[in-house]
Amino acid sequence: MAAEKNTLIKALAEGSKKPADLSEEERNLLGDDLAVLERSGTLQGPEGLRREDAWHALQNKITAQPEAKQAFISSPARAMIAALLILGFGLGLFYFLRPVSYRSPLGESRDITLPDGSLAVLSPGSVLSSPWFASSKRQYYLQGEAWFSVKKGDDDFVLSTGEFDVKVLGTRFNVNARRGTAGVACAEGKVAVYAGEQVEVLVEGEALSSVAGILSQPQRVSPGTVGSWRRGVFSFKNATPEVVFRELELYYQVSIRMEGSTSQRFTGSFTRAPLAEVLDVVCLPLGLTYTIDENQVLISNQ
Amino acid sequence: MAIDPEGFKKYFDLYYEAIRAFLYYRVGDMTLAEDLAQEAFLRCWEKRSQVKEETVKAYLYTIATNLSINHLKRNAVRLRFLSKQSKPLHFESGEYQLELQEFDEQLKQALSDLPDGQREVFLMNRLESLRYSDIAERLNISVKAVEKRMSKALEFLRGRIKHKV
Repeated sequence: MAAEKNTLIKALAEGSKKPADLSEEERNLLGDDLAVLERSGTLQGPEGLRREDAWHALQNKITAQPEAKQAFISSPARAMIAALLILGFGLGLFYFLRPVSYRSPLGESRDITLPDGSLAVLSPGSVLSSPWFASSKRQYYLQGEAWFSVKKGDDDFVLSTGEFDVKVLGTRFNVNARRGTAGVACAEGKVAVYAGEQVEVLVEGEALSSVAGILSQPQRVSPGTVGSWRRGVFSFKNATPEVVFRELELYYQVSIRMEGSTSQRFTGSFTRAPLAEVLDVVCLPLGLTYTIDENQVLISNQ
Repeated sequence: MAIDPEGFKKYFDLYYEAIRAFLYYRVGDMTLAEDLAQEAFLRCWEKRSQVKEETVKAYLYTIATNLSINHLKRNAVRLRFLSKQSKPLHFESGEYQLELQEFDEQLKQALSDLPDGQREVFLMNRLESLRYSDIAERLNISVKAVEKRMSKALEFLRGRIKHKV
């Protein structure tokens, strides 16, 4: 009896037998085990790092390890080592003088205290770097999105993105340099935004967006909502589904593909929750459906 | 035959996710599982001249098992699960949906409480669709032992779930 049941369980567990093919007798033998087997098969574990990212992390650890000891060093090898040391010194100098660059990993934000004491919080998948030849120490280039709390100083704090530059003295503000959602929002103090000939000054509780390097008129926003992504709040206003999904990709480390298109826009805010719940919030009002398969999400408009 | 660097990448691609999942089932913490999986592959790399191709898989699982031992007893495993599919658009009655949800909640809870040993085996089969023979090979146990753990796990889960569908 037990052996028979175990064989049946194995056949179901390995998929060689489908629940629909079970006879009445077999169903009775299995009892509640059938439901447990079936329902547990619809579950999956939480998502982790992408395999390629894990591979890179591992590569870094492997190369950071000391090499196997050399048994014997010949004199041509010594000349070689001397040459390598000189090269190494050169590279070291190069490294020492290199521009600083801060990165946040996918799925996580990162707090950075800059050399002047200002604070930057990078949203997942962002890069903040200083240029090679900077006229002042408070000059940075941003890819992605970040929130800044800038210390008052003698020099302007200058932040460049591909579309516009932001100049401040001491204040708190958020800059988004991602295409489609690019813009600046000021939470405190005053911020000047430059794009070509255009200059806009934002005061506390004002925000503007930038499309292809053209700045919009400043609009009122609630200062409390500026940079709310730091508290795990996603907020979108009249955004295309592509923009929303691209943001989710960065936070959830998944790749989201969309089949077909929709002219609908998404407006709303929600807090960070398991991916399926967040997708429900976004997809339902837009009439989209989704399937999650490991790190791949497929969106369709049926 | 020892493993060359190219072969190592191949094994990484083949087993990284499975090893991480296995560690997750054991320690119940994704970040920790990620770290331990890295550590397991790092150790495998260090020993690459001694590891044979035929035994890499079992070797990786052995290291993973050993690495996770220290993390087993400290705190009770609390696993999180997601559903593989998006919810079907209510073809079934609302009442049935609710019952199913209730059942799944109790199931998830009970899965975390499964005894060590049974938990890994059960989840390796149910979440990753690994065959009994494959699980046996990875964990260096017999197919009979896998069968036994599966049936014990089912017995445990059945007893824990009060809600019936």
